[in-house]
Amino acid sequence: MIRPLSCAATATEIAEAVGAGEVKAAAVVDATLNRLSTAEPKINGFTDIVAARARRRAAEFDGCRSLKPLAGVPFAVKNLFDIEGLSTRAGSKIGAEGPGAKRDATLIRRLESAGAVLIGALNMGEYAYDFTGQNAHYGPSKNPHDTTRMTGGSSGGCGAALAAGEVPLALGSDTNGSIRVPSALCGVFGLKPTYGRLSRTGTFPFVDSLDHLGPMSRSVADLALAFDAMQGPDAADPACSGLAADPTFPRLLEGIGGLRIALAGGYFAEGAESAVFSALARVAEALNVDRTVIIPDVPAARAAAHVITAAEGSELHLQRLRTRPQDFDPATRQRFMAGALIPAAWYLQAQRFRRLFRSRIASLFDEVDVVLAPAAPCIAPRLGQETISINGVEGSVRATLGRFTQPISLVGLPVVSAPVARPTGMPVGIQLIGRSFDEQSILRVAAYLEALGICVSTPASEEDA
Amino acid sequence: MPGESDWHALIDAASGEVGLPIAPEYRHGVIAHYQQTCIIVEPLLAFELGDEVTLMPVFKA
Repeated sequence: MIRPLSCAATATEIAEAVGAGEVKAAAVVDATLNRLSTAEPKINGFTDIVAARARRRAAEFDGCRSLKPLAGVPFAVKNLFDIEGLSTRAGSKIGAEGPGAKRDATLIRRLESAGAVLIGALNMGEYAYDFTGQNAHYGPSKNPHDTTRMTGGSSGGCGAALAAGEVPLALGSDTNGSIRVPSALCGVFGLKPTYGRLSRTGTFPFVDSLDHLGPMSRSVADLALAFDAMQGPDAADPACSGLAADPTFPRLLEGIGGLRIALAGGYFAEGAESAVFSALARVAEALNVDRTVIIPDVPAARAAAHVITAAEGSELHLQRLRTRPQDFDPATRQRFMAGALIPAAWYLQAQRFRRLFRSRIASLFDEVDVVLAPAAPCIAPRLGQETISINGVEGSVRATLGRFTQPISLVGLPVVSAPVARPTGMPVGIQLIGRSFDEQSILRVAAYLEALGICVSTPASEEDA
Repeated sequence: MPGESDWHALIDAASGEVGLPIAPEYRHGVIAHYQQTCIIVEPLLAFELGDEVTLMPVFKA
Protein backbone atom coordinates (compact mmCIF):
# COMPACT_ATOMS: atom_id res chain seq x y z
CA MET A 1 0.00 0.00 0.00
CA ILE A 2 1.40 3.39 -0.88
CA ARG A 3 1.51 5.97 1.85
CA PRO A 4 -1.15 8.42 0.56
CA LEU A 5 -3.68 5.65 1.03
CA SER A 6 -2.55 4.63 4.50
CA CYS A 7 -4.23 5.58 7.73
CA ALA A 8 -1.14 7.53 8.77
CA ALA A 9 -1.06 9.76 5.68
CA THR A 10 -1.26 13.44 6.50
CA ALA A 11 -3.28 15.95 4.51
CA THR A 12 -0.04 17.46 3.22
CA GLU A 13 1.20 14.09 1.95
CA ILE A 14 -2.10 13.28 0.28
CA ALA A 15 -2.31 16.68 -1.41
CA GLU A 16 1.25 16.35 -2.70
CA ALA A 17 0.60 12.85 -4.06
CA VAL A 18 -2.72 13.79 -5.68
CA GLY A 19 -1.26 17.02 -7.04
CA ALA A 20 1.66 15.12 -8.55
CA GLY A 21 -0.67 12.62 -10.16
CA GLU A 22 0.74 9.72 -8.11
CA VAL A 23 -2.68 8.78 -6.82
CA LYS A 24 -6.25 9.64 -7.75
CA ALA A 25 -8.52 11.53 -5.36
CA ALA A 26 -11.05 8.76 -5.98
CA ALA A 27 -8.60 6.17 -4.66
CA VAL A 28 -8.00 8.26 -1.56
CA VAL A 29 -11.74 8.52 -0.95
CA ASP A 30 -12.24 4.78 -1.46
CA ALA A 31 -9.43 3.98 0.98
CA THR A 32 -10.98 6.36 3.50
CA LEU A 33 -14.43 4.83 3.20
CA ASN A 34 -12.94 1.34 3.57
CA ARG A 35 -11.21 2.38 6.77
CA LEU A 36 -14.44 3.80 8.13
CA SER A 37 -16.25 0.52 7.61
CA THR A 38 -13.66 -1.22 9.78
CA ALA A 39 -13.02 1.43 12.41
CA GLU A 40 -16.44 2.94 13.02
CA PRO A 41 -17.97 -0.01 14.89
CA LYS A 42 -15.17 0.40 17.45
CA ILE A 43 -14.79 4.18 17.49
CA ASN A 44 -18.22 5.73 16.81
CA GLY A 45 -16.63 8.92 15.54
CA PHE A 46 -19.08 9.58 12.70
CA THR A 47 -22.83 10.23 12.75
CA ASP A 48 -23.19 10.78 9.00
CA ILE A 49 -21.11 9.57 6.05
CA VAL A 50 -21.65 11.26 2.69
CA ALA A 51 -20.06 8.55 0.55
CA ALA A 52 -21.89 9.34 -2.69
CA ARG A 53 -21.11 13.02 -2.44
CA ALA A 54 -17.44 12.28 -1.65
CA ARG A 55 -17.07 9.90 -4.60
CA ARG A 56 -18.76 12.37 -6.93
CA ARG A 57 -16.55 15.21 -5.83
CA ALA A 58 -13.38 13.11 -6.08
CA ALA A 59 -14.35 12.07 -9.62
CA GLU A 60 -14.94 15.69 -10.56
CA PHE A 61 -11.55 16.63 -9.15
CA ASP A 62 -9.77 13.82 -10.98
CA GLY A 63 -11.51 14.88 -14.18
CA CYS A 64 -10.10 18.38 -14.15
CA ARG A 65 -7.14 18.03 -11.84
CA SER A 66 -5.69 21.37 -10.82
CA LEU A 67 -3.04 22.36 -8.32
CA LYS A 68 -4.81 22.96 -5.05
CA PRO A 69 -3.29 23.06 -1.55
CA LEU A 70 -5.65 20.36 -0.23
CA ALA A 71 -6.05 18.33 -3.42
CA GLY A 72 -8.03 15.18 -2.70
CA VAL A 73 -7.71 15.49 1.08
CA PRO A 74 -10.58 13.76 2.90
CA PHE A 75 -11.98 15.70 5.84
CA ALA A 76 -14.92 15.53 8.22
CA VAL A 77 -16.71 18.09 10.34
CA LYS A 78 -18.28 18.15 13.79
CA ASN A 79 -21.99 17.68 13.22
CA LEU A 80 -22.85 21.26 14.12
CA PHE A 81 -21.61 22.32 10.66
CA ASP A 82 -24.31 22.61 8.01
CA ILE A 83 -23.95 20.05 5.24
CA GLU A 84 -26.28 20.61 2.31
CA GLY A 85 -29.19 18.21 2.44
CA LEU A 86 -28.48 16.90 5.96
CA SER A 87 -30.12 17.93 9.21
CA THR A 88 -27.65 19.73 11.45
CA ARG A 89 -27.67 17.59 14.57
CA ALA A 90 -25.38 19.62 16.84
CA GLY A 91 -25.27 16.42 18.85
CA SER A 92 -28.98 16.58 19.60
CA LYS A 93 -32.04 14.47 18.90
CA ILE A 94 -34.04 17.63 18.26
CA GLY A 95 -31.61 18.91 15.63
CA ALA A 96 -31.70 15.59 13.78
CA GLU A 97 -35.41 16.10 13.21
CA GLY A 98 -34.85 19.45 11.52
CA PRO A 99 -34.89 20.14 7.78
CA GLY A 100 -31.85 19.51 5.63
CA ALA A 101 -29.40 22.39 5.42
CA LYS A 102 -29.78 24.50 2.31
CA ARG A 103 -26.06 24.92 1.78
CA ASP A 104 -22.73 23.94 3.27
CA ALA A 105 -21.15 25.97 6.05
CA THR A 106 -18.71 28.62 4.86
CA LEU A 107 -15.65 26.75 6.12
CA ILE A 108 -16.67 23.55 4.30
CA ARG A 109 -17.01 25.53 1.10
CA ARG A 110 -13.62 27.14 1.62
CA LEU A 111 -11.91 23.79 2.25
CA GLU A 112 -13.56 22.27 -0.81
CA SER A 113 -12.48 25.26 -2.89
CA ALA A 114 -8.95 24.31 -1.83
CA GLY A 115 -9.46 20.77 -3.15
CA ALA A 116 -10.54 18.90 -0.02
CA VAL A 117 -13.30 16.26 -0.07
CA LEU A 118 -15.96 16.11 2.64
CA ILE A 119 -16.48 12.59 4.00
CA GLY A 120 -19.08 13.16 6.68
CA ALA A 121 -20.19 14.58 10.01
CA LEU A 122 -18.68 13.72 13.37
CA ASN A 123 -20.12 12.83 16.75
CA MET A 124 -20.14 15.47 19.49
CA GLY A 125 -21.52 16.25 22.93
CA GLU A 126 -25.06 17.62 22.77
CA TYR A 127 -25.17 21.27 21.70
CA ALA A 128 -21.41 21.42 22.44
CA TYR A 129 -22.07 21.73 26.19
CA ASP A 130 -19.58 19.00 26.96
CA PHE A 131 -15.96 18.14 27.75
CA THR A 132 -16.30 14.32 27.61
CA GLY A 133 -17.29 13.26 24.07
CA GLN A 134 -20.23 11.30 25.45
CA ASN A 135 -23.72 11.55 24.00
CA ALA A 136 -26.92 9.88 25.21
CA HIS A 137 -28.51 9.93 21.74
CA TYR A 138 -25.67 8.69 19.54
CA GLY A 139 -23.39 6.93 22.02
CA PRO A 140 -19.95 8.09 23.07
CA SER A 141 -17.11 8.59 20.66
CA LYS A 142 -14.39 6.24 21.92
CA ASN A 143 -10.72 7.01 22.33
CA PRO A 144 -8.80 4.96 19.74
CA HIS A 145 -5.83 4.67 22.11
CA ASP A 146 -8.09 2.84 24.60
CA THR A 147 -11.71 2.41 23.63
CA THR A 148 -12.79 2.17 27.27
CA ARG A 149 -11.80 5.81 27.67
CA MET A 150 -13.27 9.17 26.71
CA THR A 151 -12.21 11.18 23.70
CA GLY A 152 -12.85 14.46 25.47
CA GLY A 153 -15.34 16.90 24.05
CA SER A 154 -17.26 18.35 22.75
CA SER A 155 -15.43 17.74 19.45
CA GLY A 156 -15.01 14.11 20.49
CA GLY A 157 -15.73 12.59 17.10
CA CYS A 158 -13.00 14.78 15.59
CA GLY A 159 -10.43 13.45 18.04
CA ALA A 160 -11.59 9.87 17.53
CA ALA A 161 -11.58 10.02 13.73
CA LEU A 162 -8.10 11.52 13.61
CA ALA A 163 -6.53 9.28 16.24
CA ALA A 164 -8.02 6.21 14.56
CA GLY A 165 -6.53 7.28 11.22
CA GLU A 166 -9.95 7.50 9.60
CA VAL A 167 -9.34 10.96 8.12
CA PRO A 168 -6.33 13.29 8.23
CA LEU A 169 -8.28 16.50 8.83
CA ALA A 170 -11.34 17.52 10.84
CA LEU A 171 -13.09 20.73 11.76
CA GLY A 172 -14.27 21.27 15.31
CA SER A 173 -15.58 24.04 17.49
CA ASP A 174 -14.18 25.41 20.74
CA THR A 175 -16.15 27.53 23.20
CA ASN A 176 -14.33 26.66 26.42
CA GLY A 177 -11.89 24.01 25.21
CA SER A 178 -13.80 21.74 22.85
CA ILE A 179 -11.00 21.54 20.29
CA ARG A 180 -8.13 21.57 22.78
CA VAL A 181 -9.42 18.98 25.27
CA PRO A 182 -10.16 16.19 22.74
CA SER A 183 -6.91 17.02 20.92
CA ALA A 184 -5.04 16.43 24.18
CA LEU A 185 -6.89 13.27 25.19
CA CYS A 186 -6.71 11.71 21.71
CA GLY A 187 -3.14 12.76 20.95
CA VAL A 188 -3.73 15.00 17.94
CA PHE A 189 -3.01 18.61 17.02
CA GLY A 190 -5.74 21.23 17.27
CA LEU A 191 -5.86 24.92 16.44
CA LYS A 192 -8.31 27.21 18.17
CA PRO A 193 -7.70 30.38 16.19
CA THR A 194 -8.28 33.88 17.54
CA TYR A 195 -11.93 34.67 18.23
CA GLY A 196 -13.29 36.16 15.02
CA ARG A 197 -10.53 34.82 12.77
CA LEU A 198 -12.65 32.16 11.05
CA SER A 199 -16.22 32.54 9.86
CA ARG A 200 -18.90 30.64 11.78
CA THR A 201 -21.59 31.08 9.14
CA GLY A 202 -23.57 27.92 8.63
CA THR A 203 -22.81 26.34 11.99
CA PHE A 204 -25.11 25.79 14.94
CA PRO A 205 -24.08 28.15 17.75
CA PHE A 206 -23.54 27.37 21.40
CA VAL A 207 -22.33 30.63 23.02
CA ASP A 208 -22.08 33.31 20.37
CA SER A 209 -19.63 35.52 22.22
CA LEU A 210 -17.25 32.61 22.90
CA ASP A 211 -17.67 30.26 19.91
CA HIS A 212 -14.64 29.52 17.73
CA LEU A 213 -14.16 27.05 14.86
CA GLY A 214 -10.86 25.47 13.93
CA PRO A 215 -8.97 22.57 12.37
CA MET A 216 -7.67 19.39 14.01
CA SER A 217 -5.13 17.07 12.41
CA ARG A 218 -2.16 14.79 12.94
CA SER A 219 0.45 17.28 11.72
CA VAL A 220 1.17 20.96 12.20
CA ALA A 221 1.54 21.50 8.45
CA ASP A 222 -2.00 20.19 8.02
CA LEU A 223 -3.31 22.66 10.60
CA ALA A 224 -1.60 25.50 8.77
CA LEU A 225 -2.76 24.42 5.31
CA ALA A 226 -6.36 24.09 6.43
CA PHE A 227 -6.28 27.27 8.48
CA ASP A 228 -4.90 29.26 5.55
CA ALA A 229 -7.56 27.87 3.23
CA MET A 230 -10.32 28.99 5.61
CA GLN A 231 -9.13 32.47 6.57
CA GLY A 232 -10.75 35.66 5.37
CA PRO A 233 -13.57 38.08 6.22
CA ASP A 234 -17.23 37.09 6.14
CA ALA A 235 -19.84 39.79 6.51
CA ALA A 236 -22.43 37.14 7.40
CA ASP A 237 -20.72 36.51 10.76
CA PRO A 238 -20.78 39.74 12.81
CA ALA A 239 -17.87 38.56 14.93
CA CYS A 240 -15.67 37.66 11.97
CA SER A 241 -12.69 39.97 11.65
CA GLY A 242 -12.23 42.15 8.60
CA LEU A 243 -8.51 41.46 8.66
CA ALA A 244 -7.00 40.07 5.51
CA ALA A 245 -5.80 36.48 5.56
CA ASP A 246 -2.37 35.99 7.09
CA PRO A 247 -0.98 32.81 5.52
CA THR A 248 0.92 30.70 8.02
CA PHE A 249 2.09 27.75 5.93
CA PRO A 250 4.87 29.59 4.05
CA ARG A 251 6.60 30.58 7.32
CA LEU A 252 5.95 27.39 9.25
CA LEU A 253 9.53 26.15 9.18
CA GLU A 254 11.22 29.41 10.11
CA GLY A 255 11.98 28.06 13.56
CA ILE A 256 11.64 29.80 16.89
CA GLY A 257 14.41 32.37 16.58
CA GLY A 258 13.27 35.71 17.95
CA LEU A 259 10.23 34.31 19.70
CA ARG A 260 9.97 34.98 23.44
CA ILE A 261 8.48 31.89 25.04
CA ALA A 262 7.44 31.54 28.66
CA LEU A 263 5.81 28.98 30.91
CA ALA A 264 2.53 29.85 32.61
CA GLY A 265 2.95 29.68 36.38
CA GLY A 266 0.58 30.10 39.32
CA TYR A 267 -2.84 28.62 38.54
CA PHE A 268 -1.42 26.76 35.53
CA ALA A 269 1.32 25.09 37.59
CA GLU A 270 -1.07 23.12 39.78
CA GLY A 271 -4.13 20.92 39.44
CA ALA A 272 -2.85 18.43 36.84
CA GLU A 273 -1.56 14.88 36.92
CA SER A 274 2.20 14.46 37.07
CA ALA A 275 2.28 13.02 33.53
CA VAL A 276 0.97 16.34 32.23
CA PHE A 277 3.55 18.43 34.05
CA SER A 278 6.33 16.04 33.01
CA ALA A 279 5.30 16.46 29.38
CA LEU A 280 5.16 20.22 29.77
CA ALA A 281 8.64 20.23 31.32
CA ARG A 282 10.01 18.27 28.35
CA VAL A 283 8.56 20.85 25.99
CA ALA A 284 9.92 23.76 28.02
CA GLU A 285 13.37 22.15 28.07
CA ALA A 286 13.32 21.56 24.31
CA LEU A 287 12.49 25.22 23.79
CA ASN A 288 15.07 26.41 26.35
CA VAL A 289 12.36 28.21 28.26
CA ASP A 290 13.66 29.75 31.46
CA ARG A 291 10.96 32.26 32.13
CA THR A 292 7.64 31.95 33.94
CA VAL A 293 4.75 34.38 33.61
CA ILE A 294 1.72 34.71 35.81
CA ILE A 295 -1.59 35.15 34.02
CA PRO A 296 -3.62 37.34 36.40
CA ASP A 297 -7.10 36.78 37.82
CA VAL A 298 -7.58 33.30 36.37
CA PRO A 299 -10.23 32.07 38.85
CA ALA A 300 -12.39 35.10 38.05
CA ALA A 301 -11.79 34.50 34.34
CA ARG A 302 -12.94 30.93 34.63
CA ALA A 303 -16.00 32.04 36.57
CA ALA A 304 -16.80 34.61 33.89
CA ALA A 305 -16.52 31.99 31.15
CA HIS A 306 -18.82 29.69 33.13
CA VAL A 307 -21.47 32.36 33.61
CA ILE A 308 -21.38 33.61 30.01
CA THR A 309 -21.60 30.03 28.75
CA ALA A 310 -24.51 29.12 30.99
CA ALA A 311 -26.46 32.30 30.34
CA GLU A 312 -26.02 32.58 26.56
CA GLY A 313 -26.25 28.86 25.91
CA SER A 314 -29.37 28.46 27.98
CA GLU A 315 -31.12 31.44 26.46
CA LEU A 316 -30.48 29.98 23.01
CA HIS A 317 -32.32 26.81 23.97
CA LEU A 318 -35.00 28.33 26.19
CA GLN A 319 -37.93 27.57 23.90
CA ARG A 320 -36.77 23.97 23.39
CA LEU A 321 -36.32 23.61 27.16
CA ARG A 322 -39.90 24.78 27.65
CA THR A 323 -41.45 22.46 25.11
CA ARG A 324 -39.19 19.42 24.74
CA PRO A 325 -37.09 18.97 27.89
CA GLN A 326 -37.47 15.19 27.68
CA ASP A 327 -35.62 15.19 24.36
CA PHE A 328 -32.42 16.71 25.74
CA ASP A 329 -29.44 14.63 26.78
CA PRO A 330 -29.68 14.28 30.57
CA ALA A 331 -26.10 15.50 30.77
CA THR A 332 -27.05 18.92 29.38
CA ARG A 333 -30.72 19.38 30.29
CA GLN A 334 -30.47 20.41 33.93
CA ARG A 335 -27.37 22.52 33.30
CA PHE A 336 -29.20 24.45 30.59
CA MET A 337 -32.23 24.86 32.84
CA ALA A 338 -30.10 26.16 35.71
CA GLY A 339 -28.29 28.51 33.34
CA ALA A 340 -31.58 30.03 32.20
CA LEU A 341 -32.14 31.27 35.76
CA ILE A 342 -28.86 33.15 36.18
CA PRO A 343 -29.31 36.83 37.14
CA ALA A 344 -28.55 39.36 34.42
CA ALA A 345 -26.16 41.16 36.77
CA TRP A 346 -23.87 38.10 36.88
CA TYR A 347 -23.78 37.89 33.11
CA LEU A 348 -23.05 41.59 32.71
CA GLN A 349 -20.36 41.48 35.39
CA ALA A 350 -18.79 38.58 33.48
CA GLN A 351 -18.79 40.47 30.19
CA ARG A 352 -17.36 43.62 31.80
CA PHE A 353 -14.68 41.58 33.56
CA ARG A 354 -13.87 40.00 30.23
CA ARG A 355 -12.92 43.37 28.80
CA LEU A 356 -10.61 44.12 31.72
CA PHE A 357 -9.04 40.66 31.53
CA ARG A 358 -8.45 41.15 27.82
CA SER A 359 -6.45 44.34 28.43
CA ARG A 360 -4.37 42.67 31.16
CA ILE A 361 -3.58 39.71 28.95
CA ALA A 362 -2.65 42.06 26.11
CA SER A 363 -0.13 43.71 28.46
CA LEU A 364 1.35 40.32 29.28
CA PHE A 365 1.87 39.67 25.57
CA ASP A 366 3.90 42.88 25.30
CA GLU A 367 6.62 40.90 27.05
CA VAL A 368 6.25 37.43 25.51
CA ASP A 369 5.11 35.93 22.21
CA VAL A 370 4.06 32.42 23.25
CA VAL A 371 2.97 31.01 26.61
CA LEU A 372 3.08 27.29 27.44
CA ALA A 373 0.40 25.71 29.62
CA PRO A 374 -1.23 22.31 30.11
CA ALA A 375 -4.20 21.51 27.84
CA ALA A 376 -6.20 18.88 29.74
CA PRO A 377 -5.21 18.22 33.37
CA CYS A 378 -5.22 14.44 33.02
CA ILE A 379 -5.15 11.51 30.63
CA ALA A 380 -8.51 10.44 29.20
CA PRO A 381 -10.92 9.37 31.95
CA ARG A 382 -12.89 6.15 31.64
CA LEU A 383 -16.20 6.29 29.77
CA GLY A 384 -18.95 6.95 32.29
CA GLN A 385 -16.55 8.25 34.91
CA GLU A 386 -18.18 11.09 36.85
CA THR A 387 -15.47 12.28 39.23
CA ILE A 388 -11.71 12.51 39.16
CA SER A 389 -9.15 13.01 41.89
CA ILE A 390 -6.03 14.99 41.10
CA ASN A 391 -3.46 15.42 43.86
CA GLY A 392 -6.10 14.48 46.39
CA VAL A 393 -8.63 17.03 45.16
CA GLU A 394 -11.80 15.43 43.86
CA GLY A 395 -13.97 17.16 41.30
CA SER A 396 -16.42 16.39 38.53
CA VAL A 397 -14.80 15.15 35.34
CA ARG A 398 -16.73 17.68 33.26
CA ALA A 399 -15.55 20.69 35.24
CA THR A 400 -12.01 19.42 35.71
CA LEU A 401 -11.30 18.80 32.03
CA GLY A 402 -11.73 22.49 31.18
CA ARG A 403 -9.56 23.84 33.98
CA PHE A 404 -6.75 25.09 31.74
CA THR A 405 -8.59 25.89 28.51
CA GLN A 406 -11.61 27.85 29.72
CA PRO A 407 -9.79 30.98 30.98
CA ILE A 408 -7.86 31.36 27.71
CA SER A 409 -10.79 31.20 25.30
CA LEU A 410 -12.60 33.80 27.43
CA VAL A 411 -10.42 36.42 25.71
CA GLY A 412 -10.20 34.65 22.39
CA LEU A 413 -6.45 34.07 22.26
CA PRO A 414 -5.19 31.69 19.56
CA VAL A 415 -3.97 28.33 20.88
CA VAL A 416 -2.39 25.24 19.40
CA SER A 417 -3.05 22.10 21.41
CA ALA A 418 -0.06 19.85 20.78
CA PRO A 419 0.29 16.17 21.77
CA VAL A 420 3.51 15.38 23.61
CA ALA A 421 5.26 12.18 22.60
CA ARG A 422 5.31 9.56 25.36
CA PRO A 423 6.85 6.12 25.06
CA THR A 424 3.94 4.51 26.90
CA GLY A 425 0.58 5.49 28.27
CA MET A 426 -2.32 7.58 27.08
CA PRO A 427 -1.75 10.88 25.26
CA VAL A 428 -1.33 14.21 27.01
CA GLY A 429 -1.34 17.64 25.43
CA ILE A 430 -0.08 21.15 26.01
CA GLN A 431 -1.32 24.58 24.97
CA LEU A 432 0.82 26.99 22.96
CA ILE A 433 -0.94 30.31 23.56
CA GLY A 434 -0.32 33.36 21.40
CA ARG A 435 -1.40 36.97 21.27
CA SER A 436 -4.58 37.85 19.41
CA PHE A 437 -4.35 37.26 15.67
CA ASP A 438 -0.84 35.82 15.91
CA GLU A 439 -1.51 32.24 14.91
CA GLN A 440 1.78 32.38 13.02
CA SER A 441 4.00 32.22 16.12
CA ILE A 442 2.22 29.35 17.85
CA LEU A 443 2.17 27.27 14.67
CA ARG A 444 5.90 27.90 14.19
CA VAL A 445 6.63 26.71 17.72
CA ALA A 446 4.43 23.66 17.22
CA ALA A 447 6.19 22.83 13.95
CA TYR A 448 9.56 23.19 15.67
CA LEU A 449 8.50 20.79 18.43
CA GLU A 450 7.14 18.36 15.86
CA ALA A 451 10.42 18.42 13.92
CA LEU A 452 12.27 17.62 17.14
CA GLY A 453 9.98 14.67 17.79
CA ILE A 454 8.80 16.22 21.07
CA CYS A 455 5.23 16.73 19.88
CA VAL A 456 3.93 14.04 17.53
CA SER A 457 0.61 12.50 16.62
CA THR A 458 0.47 8.86 15.59
CA PRO A 459 -2.73 6.98 14.75
CA ALA A 460 -3.59 4.37 17.32
CA SER A 461 -3.71 1.70 14.60
CA GLU A 462 -0.08 2.49 13.71
CA GLU A 463 0.94 2.06 17.34
CA ASP A 464 -0.63 -1.38 17.36
CA ALA A 465 1.01 -2.46 14.11
CA MET B 1 -25.98 29.48 53.06
CA PRO B 2 -29.66 29.27 52.15
CA GLY B 3 -31.63 26.27 53.35
CA GLU B 4 -33.20 23.63 51.11
CA SER B 5 -36.57 25.35 51.06
CA ASP B 6 -34.94 28.64 50.09
CA TRP B 7 -33.37 27.02 47.03
CA HIS B 8 -36.71 25.57 46.00
CA ALA B 9 -38.36 28.98 46.44
CA LEU B 10 -35.64 30.66 44.41
CA ILE B 11 -35.92 28.14 41.57
CA ASP B 12 -39.71 28.45 41.57
CA ALA B 13 -39.57 32.24 41.40
CA ALA B 14 -36.85 32.44 38.76
CA SER B 15 -38.27 29.73 36.52
CA GLY B 16 -41.67 31.39 36.77
CA GLU B 17 -40.17 34.70 35.67
CA VAL B 18 -38.61 33.20 32.54
CA GLY B 19 -41.56 30.92 31.81
CA LEU B 20 -39.57 27.73 32.15
CA PRO B 21 -41.52 24.97 33.88
CA ILE B 22 -39.21 22.56 35.69
CA ALA B 23 -40.67 19.10 36.13
CA PRO B 24 -40.22 17.43 39.52
CA GLU B 25 -37.80 14.85 38.11
CA TYR B 26 -35.46 17.62 36.92
CA ARG B 27 -35.71 19.84 39.99
CA HIS B 28 -32.96 18.22 42.06
CA GLY B 29 -30.45 18.46 39.21
CA VAL B 30 -31.35 22.05 38.41
CA ILE B 31 -30.89 23.10 42.02
CA ALA B 32 -27.58 21.26 42.25
CA HIS B 33 -26.25 22.97 39.13
CA TYR B 34 -27.52 26.36 40.27
CA GLN B 35 -25.81 25.88 43.63
CA GLN B 36 -22.59 24.93 41.86
CA THR B 37 -22.78 28.09 39.77
CA CYS B 38 -23.27 30.14 42.93
CA ILE B 39 -19.95 28.79 44.20
CA ILE B 40 -18.12 29.15 40.89
CA VAL B 41 -19.22 32.75 40.43
CA GLU B 42 -17.84 33.94 43.79
CA PRO B 43 -14.41 35.11 42.55
CA LEU B 44 -16.11 37.03 39.75
CA LEU B 45 -18.60 38.77 41.98
CA ALA B 46 -15.83 39.63 44.43
CA PHE B 47 -13.94 41.39 41.65
CA GLU B 48 -14.28 45.18 41.81
CA LEU B 49 -14.82 46.68 38.38
CA GLY B 50 -14.54 50.43 37.85
CA ASP B 51 -17.39 52.30 36.20
CA GLU B 52 -15.19 52.83 33.17
CA VAL B 53 -15.10 49.09 32.42
CA THR B 54 -17.90 48.75 29.93
CA LEU B 55 -19.16 45.93 27.76
CA MET B 56 -17.90 45.09 24.29
CA PRO B 57 -21.20 44.54 22.47
CA VAL B 58 -19.50 42.60 19.68
CA PHE B 59 -16.42 41.15 21.25
CA LYS B 60 -13.17 41.68 19.35
CA ALA B 61 -10.11 39.76 20.40
